[in-house]
Amino acid sequence: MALSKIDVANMLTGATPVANGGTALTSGFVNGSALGIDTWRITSNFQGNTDPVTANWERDDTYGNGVSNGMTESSGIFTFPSTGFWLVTAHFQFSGDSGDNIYVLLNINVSTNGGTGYSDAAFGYTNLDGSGEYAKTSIQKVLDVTDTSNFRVSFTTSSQDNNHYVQTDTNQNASYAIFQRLGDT
Amino acid sequence: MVQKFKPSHIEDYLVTVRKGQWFGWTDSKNKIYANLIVHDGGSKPTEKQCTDGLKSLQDAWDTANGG
Repeated sequence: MALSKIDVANMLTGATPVANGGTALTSGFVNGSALGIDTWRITSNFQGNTDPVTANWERDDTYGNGVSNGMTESSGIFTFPSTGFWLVTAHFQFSGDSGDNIYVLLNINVSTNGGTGYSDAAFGYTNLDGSGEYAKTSIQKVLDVTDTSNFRVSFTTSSQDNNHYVQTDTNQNASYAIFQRLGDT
Repeated sequence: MVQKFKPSHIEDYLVTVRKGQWFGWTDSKNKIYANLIVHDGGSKPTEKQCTDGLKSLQDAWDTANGG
């Protein structure tokens, strides 16, 4: 017997995704329009402990950043355009100075009270053994952003001797952060 | 500071002047002295200090690398 009609609603249990004819999903799926990805990078090198990294951020402007519902940045403080689950990734490129065998620390900091206070949400260490040493640190944190007016993110970097360098670039990604909206909260 | 890569831009000198994010550029795609800005209210090196500073770094790099 050939099937001319499948009664999906009665054959399945639980919520059934709803589409409106193929042009846009309406419910039950991760809605494409709600996804977002935004890359920001630092454009000028600097040395030493920096809490937070406040200056010289730019939105990635080469080869397509994929901005959709982008972040807002002010003096190194990032705010979210919408609630939801957001994956924050920080990649920082470091180089050493004259100190031997020093640690270099990168943090993702989160505020849930509008920037009144920040807590470490992710950290990563690397080790540099003097000048001419290079290392990259990458850390991530998924955030359940429930209130865009109160969630803030910033980044800090420090080292054992306060002499590490952060390497940057304005034409390619060297030290940068990616904000990716994964879905609804 | 001695690096694996020979210093090639005044930014290599600027990072040695003082710590932190004290400087930036009005146009990050065009990092020339005229576009150098100071964020921290501190002094801005002269263009000659920048070019001389870069030259010193390059000379040190050459010496360290058998130049």
